[in-house]
Amino acid sequence: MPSFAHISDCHLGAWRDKTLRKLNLEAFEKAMDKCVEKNVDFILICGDLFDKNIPDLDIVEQATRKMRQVRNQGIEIYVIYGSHDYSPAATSIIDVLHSSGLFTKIMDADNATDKVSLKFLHDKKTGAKIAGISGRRASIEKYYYEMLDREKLESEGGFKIFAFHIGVNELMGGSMHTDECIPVSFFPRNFDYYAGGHIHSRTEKKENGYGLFVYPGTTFGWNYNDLENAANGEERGFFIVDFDSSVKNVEFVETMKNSVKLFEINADNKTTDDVRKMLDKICDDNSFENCITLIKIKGVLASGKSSDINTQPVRDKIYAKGAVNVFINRNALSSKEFDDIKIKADARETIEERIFREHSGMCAAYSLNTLKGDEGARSAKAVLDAAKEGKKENETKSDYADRIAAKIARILGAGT
Amino acid sequence: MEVVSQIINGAQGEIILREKSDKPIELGEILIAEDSDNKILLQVYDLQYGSQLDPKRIEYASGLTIEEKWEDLKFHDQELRNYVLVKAKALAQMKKDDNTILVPKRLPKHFSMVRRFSEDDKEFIAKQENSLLLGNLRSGSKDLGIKVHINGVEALSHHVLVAATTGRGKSNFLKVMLWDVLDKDYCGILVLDPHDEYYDVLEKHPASRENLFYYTNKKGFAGAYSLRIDVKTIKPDDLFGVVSFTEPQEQAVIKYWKAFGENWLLEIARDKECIFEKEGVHPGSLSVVQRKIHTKLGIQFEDGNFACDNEVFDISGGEKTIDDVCRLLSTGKKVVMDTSMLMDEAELLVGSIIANRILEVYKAKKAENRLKEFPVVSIVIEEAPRVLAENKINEANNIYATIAREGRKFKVGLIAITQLSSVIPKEIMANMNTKVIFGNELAVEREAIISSASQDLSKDGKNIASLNKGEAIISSIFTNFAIPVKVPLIDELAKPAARSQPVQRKVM
Repeated sequence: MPSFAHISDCHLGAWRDKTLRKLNLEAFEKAMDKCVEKNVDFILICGDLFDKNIPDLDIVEQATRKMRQVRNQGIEIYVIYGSHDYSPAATSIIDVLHSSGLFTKIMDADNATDKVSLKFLHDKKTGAKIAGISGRRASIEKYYYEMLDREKLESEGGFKIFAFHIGVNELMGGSMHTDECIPVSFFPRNFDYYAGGHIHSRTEKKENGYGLFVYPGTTFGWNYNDLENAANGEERGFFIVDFDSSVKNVEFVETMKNSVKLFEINADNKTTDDVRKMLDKICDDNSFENCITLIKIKGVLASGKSSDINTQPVRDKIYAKGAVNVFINRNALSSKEFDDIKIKADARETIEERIFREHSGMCAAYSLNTLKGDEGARSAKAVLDAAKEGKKENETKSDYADRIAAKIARILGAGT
Repeated sequence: MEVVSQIINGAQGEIILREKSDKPIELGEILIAEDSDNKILLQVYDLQYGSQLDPKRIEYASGLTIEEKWEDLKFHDQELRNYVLVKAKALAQMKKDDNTILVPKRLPKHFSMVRRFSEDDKEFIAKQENSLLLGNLRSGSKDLGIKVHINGVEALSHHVLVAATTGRGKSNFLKVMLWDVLDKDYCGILVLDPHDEYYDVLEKHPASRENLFYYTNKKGFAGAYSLRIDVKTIKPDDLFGVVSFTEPQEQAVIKYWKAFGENWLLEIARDKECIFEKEGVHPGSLSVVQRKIHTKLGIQFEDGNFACDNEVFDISGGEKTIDDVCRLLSTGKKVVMDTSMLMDEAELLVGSIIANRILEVYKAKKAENRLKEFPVVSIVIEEAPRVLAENKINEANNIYATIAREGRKFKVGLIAITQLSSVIPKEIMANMNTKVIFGNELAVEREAIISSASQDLSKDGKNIASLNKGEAIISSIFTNFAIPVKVPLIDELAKPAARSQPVQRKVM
């Protein structure tokens, strides 16, 4: 029976920490190996294969090598952009690898008219027909869904897959706001399988009048929250789907080889000494071998400041017990004496988003819509991300400055 | 100045004018009497014939005309001797030096010449902050083309009553009002739409993509959100306000709520054994509660599975619908819910759940002293007596009555639509601080509105009875006087507007 693998949100190159970056790549490699082992007919990657549109070349080289091995086994790879590896301003690595023939980008649309008319990609080996819409920054792809010629897609026969990279409102369990995702009614009906990306939690749901909607989630994780969710039991992996004229079986394959352990310390009304003792107690645990260890310290200290808590000895002890990584998060820790953290959140990205959301009202008087409301918050986050981009090797300072300025102008809708 | 009449007689509240023969005046027309310091706005509430001749002579002359065929019989100085007397009341007085508008406390000068309202007088209808369009200023049956706005934040938080009999234009009025605020972020509005008539028009608005959210289970509306509500999000208080329970039945409901938390509704539907019988729940009471849940909400337990007669209440989806809607409303969005497939109580329950949650959220914001950062939220209820009638308002946890009484303190208001104002108690009517009064033939209904109006409309009975389709009187504590309006047709507003087209981007 034909089968395909549905993968998304690998975010290759996402971590600054070298170990986590390596583990992330290994999870992807494991997914590729499993696809060969299970002899799937093709692989469908639904966005955010890479964490940036132009990732570090060493990651690209290793990922390319692995995908080449897969291709050499006769397994086709089909890809759509995600919100991370797409850039409105520059060519993406996805374009480069597509042009090299390593994989095939799915989207091939004709929007000469006022409608977006998608063309099906036919997988020659299985006869499966695949159409899809890539992800975009700030969910600009909503517009494509609005303009989509659904009738044409719905009238096509055969086994059909719709690939996408956006949250679907009816499938989300409260984790996303309505304006960050789209309603299911935007999708064409009569597809057998709706292959999603962008959502980092495994989700499978049959929607009335549609086929099966599936998000495999991330293969490893992109930030602290993803790791914390993994520690709380969220599985990391991808799906293998058996089909003939319809979906016959859906199997989840795990890709994360390390366990993740989470320790939470409530520092409310504790002194820094108390917290140090609680950290020491964590070190008594003896099951850190090959484990990613997360320690989350939160609350309001009765005295002292958070920087008084030296975590290095704790890290050293846990590493000595075989942990592959120790991540100590004190973003939600503040002090009665030095209360300078107003946003209680876990991940840097979340804090940034909330701050921008809270302050977007201050831009209400500006004429650019991209500065107002939620759109303003998203634009601000995109600008910040753009400003974080490093200088490339051999790039002059002025070229670097021009490149970042042009990118920011485009994000704000002021550039060309 | 084109004189149309002259003040000849009368008293405060009943000023009598003589109409100029070639300048006919209409019932409801607004006129201006002016002196060197003030303009006084008058409104006509009655018309009658006047003559210098003895009535018996007039009657005799008429006999000569119709019985004796003296067709060319004419009175000497016809225009001078026979005329129309106009009864008017002073609505407002404007000081010319600073345009201050006052309640008139003196009569216009005797024998003042009176003219029609003109463009120069539009300061009487000053545009308000956070404007909410109610229609165009009307003089008699003439649309003067001057837009009438009130302060939307104030008006919506202090509730709006739309009183209209069928076919007088209440749907059109609401569409016009919603159209006007669709691109304004000072208010979030929830429309429970039992006839599914609002979205088709409103989605043509240029701002609909960003600000209009449509919930329906009808197929073929790309971009619409599924109207599915997880039954676990329903709390007993939501139900008590819209479905009548006896005390034992209510006790049974609370028992299940305490025992099963968010699963209470499902456990009631499932329980065939009456598991709490020993703790005082009578099987008969449970059975009635189960039947009410089935008949009113469509939820039942059959063959080992939960089933719902409608697609709205769900056990495996819709868990974030209520939170989503509340968040949309509290960010100034407009939400239209197609409740056409729901029974009365189920529709009200949907509104009740959202109203309860939004009021909770706004009460919390007020406690944090952050309420001013949030837009006013208004909930449109059709056939308001279903929840605001005398026998309904005192039912436990009727959230609509609660909002009517105290919602204004938390920036949560109602837009209540009714054909039967007379069944809404005075206490609630008095809280509806803006009334949009359309034509009504029933004296008892007119009386209910007039007696609770924010201005003295005691002489406007005939005026209200004579209002044509689309004509209304706005009586509000936020206007200086009761303003006659003509509501423009929504099709005229929607015609020139073209919904903003998505930016054409290269698709890759």
